[in-house]
Amino acid sequence: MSARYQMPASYRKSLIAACHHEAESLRTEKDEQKKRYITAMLAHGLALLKRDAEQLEKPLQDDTENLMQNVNAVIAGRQDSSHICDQLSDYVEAKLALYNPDFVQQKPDEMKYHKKQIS
Amino acid sequence: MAVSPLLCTAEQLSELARWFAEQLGVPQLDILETRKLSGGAIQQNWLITLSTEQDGQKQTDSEPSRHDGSRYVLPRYVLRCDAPSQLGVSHPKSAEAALLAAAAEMGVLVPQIIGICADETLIGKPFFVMSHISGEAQARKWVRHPQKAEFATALAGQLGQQMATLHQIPPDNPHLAFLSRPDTSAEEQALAEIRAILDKMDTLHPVLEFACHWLKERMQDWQDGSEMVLCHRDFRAGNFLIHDGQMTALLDWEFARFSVPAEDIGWLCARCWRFGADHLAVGGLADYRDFHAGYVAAGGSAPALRTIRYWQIFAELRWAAIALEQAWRCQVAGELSLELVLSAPLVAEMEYHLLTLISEMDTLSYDAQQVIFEQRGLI
Repeated sequence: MSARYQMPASYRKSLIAACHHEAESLRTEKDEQKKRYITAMLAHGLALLKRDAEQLEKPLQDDTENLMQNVNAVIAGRQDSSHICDQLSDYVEAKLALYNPDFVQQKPDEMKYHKKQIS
Repeated sequence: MAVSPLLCTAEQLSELARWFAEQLGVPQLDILETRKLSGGAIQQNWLITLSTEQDGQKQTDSEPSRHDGSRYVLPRYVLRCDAPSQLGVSHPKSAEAALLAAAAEMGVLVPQIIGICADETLIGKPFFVMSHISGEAQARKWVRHPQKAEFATALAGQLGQQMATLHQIPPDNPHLAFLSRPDTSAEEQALAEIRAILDKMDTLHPVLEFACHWLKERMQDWQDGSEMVLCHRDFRAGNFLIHDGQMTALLDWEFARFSVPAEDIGWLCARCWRFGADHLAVGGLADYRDFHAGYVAAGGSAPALRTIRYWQIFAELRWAAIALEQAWRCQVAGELSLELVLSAPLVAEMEYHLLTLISEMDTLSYDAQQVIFEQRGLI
């Protein structure tokens, strides 16, 4: 995996605020079914924050802007599009490593992304 | 009496009880319980239980009244209203109720409308009330159901039949008078909707921008010249109720508009709506060929595989844009909800599907895709 991705700071802030909010609502919620739902959401949100915190220990790296420039160059016809899908797939796999690490592994082989070229 | 956030004051609760009494033709009734139903990040659905001294006049087919000692407990109803902030493309409640009425006339399985309230003062927002129908919508539950193999083929056929019926609703049905006919193609309309969402985001989304460009570049191939029909535009696992392996109602009509049939089919068969059962194109429940058989048998003219594949790509793009917008509602519009914030990480999954589908379309000939489809039903 060569591309890099970091959770945007604005998103991290919302996620923390929403986790606090739901944790607070859990104290007063009476409905057991809803409590279980909130608890599961909270566990998911906290797991995301944990993975994000581990990533933040490394130097801040993110390829979003570079890839946006490459896509804009393809859109403007200044760059050949043959490599762009492979570049973007590296980037998406980096995003998935943070947001849903098992996602690609769980896909059947014929529904996985297969690189065309080595970029 | 259980009072929920829907009805924050006793005064509003009694106003709502009066409104129900008027709609049902009974002199007086009480609200026993209001309970928020699960799902519905954009709209809210509340299960309402009422009691009265005499039986209700307006009965629904789904549940009879029952006598409970000194009072009648009426059939349960569902009150549908907007969440605190909604998406710009959602229809107002009166329009959604009109869509349900048009669908019911044609024979599409939908809840029966009991009444519409446009008065925002009653509970703080417009709403409509519909009959409560037996069944569960939870897609993951049905996708993992131990008896799925026994009911899935027939269910997919029924879904095809229902969608074909929906697509045959006459566009001049008086209930649809509020819906304008677009002056651009369904494909251009679809991309414009995504553009509007991406343009208001303050974050960069290179994969989604590339997918928009890719679809725009292939517009000629994407457009198949189909007539526009009424499309539900959210017909997917999770938005129809299933009871005993059969569909009992199609819900959530807030995005319906005129489009081409392939948009609904591509959405139903999108990879993002398979809930882990990736090989089963129809919502992770069944093979596309079973759906196709039901669609054609009910008079539908099924689009070509190539057209469906373009709309599958669009479906991934659209769900990604909606997920971004849902998280944006929390980040910018101040609606504090973890459910909404957790929509954003899903975007990476749609981006993966987008690149995979685009890559398949770019590298496999149409004939090769057709062979894969015919041999394995894989789309």
